[in-house]
Amino acid sequence: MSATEHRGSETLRRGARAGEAQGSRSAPRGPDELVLNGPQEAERVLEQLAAAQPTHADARHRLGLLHLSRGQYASAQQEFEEALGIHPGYRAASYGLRMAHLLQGTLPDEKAAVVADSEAPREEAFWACADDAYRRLHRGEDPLEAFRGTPEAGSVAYHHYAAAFAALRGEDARIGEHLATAGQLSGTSREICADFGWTDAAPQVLANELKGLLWTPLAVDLYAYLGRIYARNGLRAEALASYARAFLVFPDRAQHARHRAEVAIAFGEEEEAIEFLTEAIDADPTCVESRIALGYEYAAQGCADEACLQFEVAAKLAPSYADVRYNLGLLYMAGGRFNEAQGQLRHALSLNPAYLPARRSLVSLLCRTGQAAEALREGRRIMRQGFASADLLVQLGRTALELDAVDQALELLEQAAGAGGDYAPVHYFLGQVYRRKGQKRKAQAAWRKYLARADQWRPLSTGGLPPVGCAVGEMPPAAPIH
Amino acid sequence: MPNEDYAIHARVHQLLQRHWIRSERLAVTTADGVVVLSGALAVEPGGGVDLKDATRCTRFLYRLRADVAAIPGVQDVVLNLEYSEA
Repeated sequence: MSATEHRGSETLRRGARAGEAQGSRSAPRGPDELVLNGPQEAERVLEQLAAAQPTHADARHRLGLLHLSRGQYASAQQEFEEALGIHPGYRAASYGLRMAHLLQGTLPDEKAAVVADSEAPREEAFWACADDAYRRLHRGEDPLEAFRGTPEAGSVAYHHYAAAFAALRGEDARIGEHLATAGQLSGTSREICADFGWTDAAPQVLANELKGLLWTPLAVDLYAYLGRIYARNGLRAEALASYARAFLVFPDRAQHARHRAEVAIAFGEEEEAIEFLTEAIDADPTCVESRIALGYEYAAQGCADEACLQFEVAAKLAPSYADVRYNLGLLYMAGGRFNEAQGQLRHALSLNPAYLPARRSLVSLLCRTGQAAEALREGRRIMRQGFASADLLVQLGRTALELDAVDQALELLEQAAGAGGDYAPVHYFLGQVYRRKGQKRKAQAAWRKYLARADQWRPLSTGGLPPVGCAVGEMPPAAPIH
Repeated sequence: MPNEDYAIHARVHQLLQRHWIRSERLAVTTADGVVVLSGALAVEPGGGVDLKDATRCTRFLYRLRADVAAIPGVQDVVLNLEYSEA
């Protein structure tokens, strides 16, 4: 076990001990111990969201799940009904409503069967089995019969549910047996059970823990939401414990690794983030979100080749994602692959013509590659979108100057001065324009402003085009200032 | 430390995640070291930052701007944001 895993395990144990039902407690942080009741906070936030946005079906659905997890079945039923009132085709909410009826024992017989179609995601197919299992449980039959002959029979999820049903039926001896089998099938399952401190030595404790969870694939959404609430409030251990619960109620190694990466990113643990995202991709190489997230992590660390690879795969998996194309454009630009960069940025714009970042970087690229007239045209299009930052206007002003369009340059740079008077390069290039126009005094005043605003003098040669009127690296002439 | 636009752009994304800012309706433009954040600002619910409160929102934006400006290679930061419900 790596140092990272060990730390994760230790914090998870602490989080698990605190318990979900009563809220959780983080490790002490200084004189005031930070305490947060996750479910209570989730309820507050969701109620607020549902009140502010009455058509927010997700908020209602999550409130329904929260009530289910607390055994408040009537309230849960009401929330799911409200979610379905907002969005009648909301499948998860309709499953939630069935679950509320199932757990209350009020599901009419004629509504007994759930059949997931063959195109349905795995969660839905599994839900159909779980639905049947709950009905069998209420009739006093063996719930595990529901899984017989299905693709899930013998899976990690099956053994987690078998352990949970054993706990619900008071068959404590079988709990450990099923969890051990799940552990043999999945290293993640084994680690989580160990992290929660679940051993055969205390079967009753184990049974109580299992009974405390909401056993439905729908609950992944709830536990992941609680995990984000904890992480957002700086409670790392509790976040990890909540994500572990999400894995238990519906084991998905890729998703669990993504959740752990999310925590690592939130806490600034870059190496761990890369490690977990790599694991997520190993478990599910087709997950675009993991590829993009890993691409960002590598890019942030300056590993351009690794980032490129991830974004290139993401582009193949999701050809219509404009921001993937944009990131590839930036990476190719950095590598001097200007034609490919331009291709990616134009591709992003063909997917979304209003995609400002791609057009802005395209202007930058066109300037850098000496395509001044085209840069100016693209820049004007950005301004027509209502966007005019000082840096863009300066770049366009410089470009106009390059094309000897001095009046146009002046207009753009004066506009830049209005948009961001403290942006030092505005004044430097205004000085250049005034010099071109023979307005010596104005040029001096502009350069004085530049020197007053610039942190330290540096030649303004970045961005491709050399400063107009002087060679790369040349200081604005000192003589006129004095 | 890298200061190319791609690295700055990625760092800004990391920062947004750490501040629990929702990026769906937010455009991050990174060109020649200048970072522009434009669009709708919304944070993930449940973190104690109430952006409807003008004072807190201003404080939050100052901090965000300072954090972006601290990324190596960033020349300037422009915020052109409007508040949005999560």
